[in-house]
Amino acid sequence: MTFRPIAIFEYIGARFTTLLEELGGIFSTFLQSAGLLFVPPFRMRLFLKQMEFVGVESSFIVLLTGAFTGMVFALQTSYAFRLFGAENLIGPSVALSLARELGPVLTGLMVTGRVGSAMAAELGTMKVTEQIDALYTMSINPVQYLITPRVLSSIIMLPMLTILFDFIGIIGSYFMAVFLLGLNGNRFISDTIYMVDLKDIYIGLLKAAVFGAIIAVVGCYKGYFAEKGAEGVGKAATQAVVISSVSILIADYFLTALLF
Amino acid sequence: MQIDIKGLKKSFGTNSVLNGIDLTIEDGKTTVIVGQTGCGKSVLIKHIIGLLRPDAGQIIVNGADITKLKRKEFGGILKNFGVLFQNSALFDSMTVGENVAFPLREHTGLSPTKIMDVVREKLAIVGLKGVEQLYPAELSGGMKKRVGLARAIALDPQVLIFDEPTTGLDPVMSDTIDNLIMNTQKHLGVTSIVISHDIPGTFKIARWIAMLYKGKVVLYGSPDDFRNTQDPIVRQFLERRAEGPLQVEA
Repeated sequence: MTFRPIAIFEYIGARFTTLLEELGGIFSTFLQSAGLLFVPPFRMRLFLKQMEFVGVESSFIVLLTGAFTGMVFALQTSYAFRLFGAENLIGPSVALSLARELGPVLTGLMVTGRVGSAMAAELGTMKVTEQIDALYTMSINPVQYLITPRVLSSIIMLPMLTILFDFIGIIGSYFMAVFLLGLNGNRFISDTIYMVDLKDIYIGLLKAAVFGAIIAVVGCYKGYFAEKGAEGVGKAATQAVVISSVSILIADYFLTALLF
Repeated sequence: MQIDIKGLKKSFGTNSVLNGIDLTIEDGKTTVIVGQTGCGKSVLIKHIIGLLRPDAGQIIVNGADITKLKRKEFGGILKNFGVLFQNSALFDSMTVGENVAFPLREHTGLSPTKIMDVVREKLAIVGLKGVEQLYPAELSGGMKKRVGLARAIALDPQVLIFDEPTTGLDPVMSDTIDNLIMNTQKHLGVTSIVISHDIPGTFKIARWIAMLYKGKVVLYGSPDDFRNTQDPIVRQFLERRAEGPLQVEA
């Protein structure tokens, strides 16, 4: 086989076109589902069900990861701050990092693993077993019935979960700092409150809402366009997690650069 | 509802699947569409229910060309259609009762108790009783088909579409489903379109048969026309021989 230098460009071009198609598909799924939010019928039950699935059922893993993140963060920062006697900064630095970065990002990544993959698998199975076609033939808009509630619920519930993560993370670091490192508890609290602005928390929650939209839209998009049976469903679930996780980290950078 | 299909063409990339289909589905009768796998039967059905748009041609229902309708306008047409999918396509997160009730809940203002009455009535038509609380995963293939049919007739459609209703069922269950299709057709007076590979079943239930080959109708006629035809393509298909003008695509 002769070497064709042009093949490299063909390959890059083809990959780039696929990427653009994918991004376009994801974005148009988002626009469609958002637009259909304002069109009757409004199916409250579906929203509540998804909120339970995305929010309530994720709260345990969020609590667990939040507590340990706060604890390990306090432990790590204590090594550094002790060097120059600034242990009183442990509380504020943990709280600030949780509110601005770790809370929304880690919650987003945890929920991606649990919810994004489940959405892709569920919609993918419905797609390959013709359940989505069945919805359509009963003159029900499948995007409105399946995707809109998932996207809205995720946008609402991700900030809620982030609040939980921030809160339990700070409590974890408090326990670490006060009971294991022997800092003054009142000082820890007053320093933290003094150093952390409400704005830090709000922007973290705004990020979480964006991550919620990414998780649900990517998961639903991947499932909705799944093909080729069980293998396709598995692939959709994996890709949903990979694409959402990477997108969350990229979006986090731009949101931080723009908002703070 | 009479459906007139005129010069319907559709290709996917370079693969042309429908090459000018002309076919009339007679009102209130059962028309069976037969042909090899990949001859365009399912694609044709997807055009009739608006899941696909043709490259050329018309589908005329009640005097209007439905291929020109916008997606939103199609909703109204679809309420007259009931579809039984090949794998029944029951919603597996819902019970049997909820599946059959689903179109009623979405499209009628009936009270929950009235809906349950209709659900029981439709399940009785397909010969099922006391299964409302079961989930689709707990049903056999034949029962799923029945539930799928009950859901398809929930809104009393004028047209019923069956996509390979007996594929994957044993001969006895196949015949039971064929009887069910005939009874439903008689009972409700609907126009039925059946896609099938099952030759004995086709002769049993069809008023009209259309055979597709390479995206065209090679023969349209009554079961007797099919029994007496000398067309080599049709003969080979009916006699289920591997040798002849029909070739299996490699």
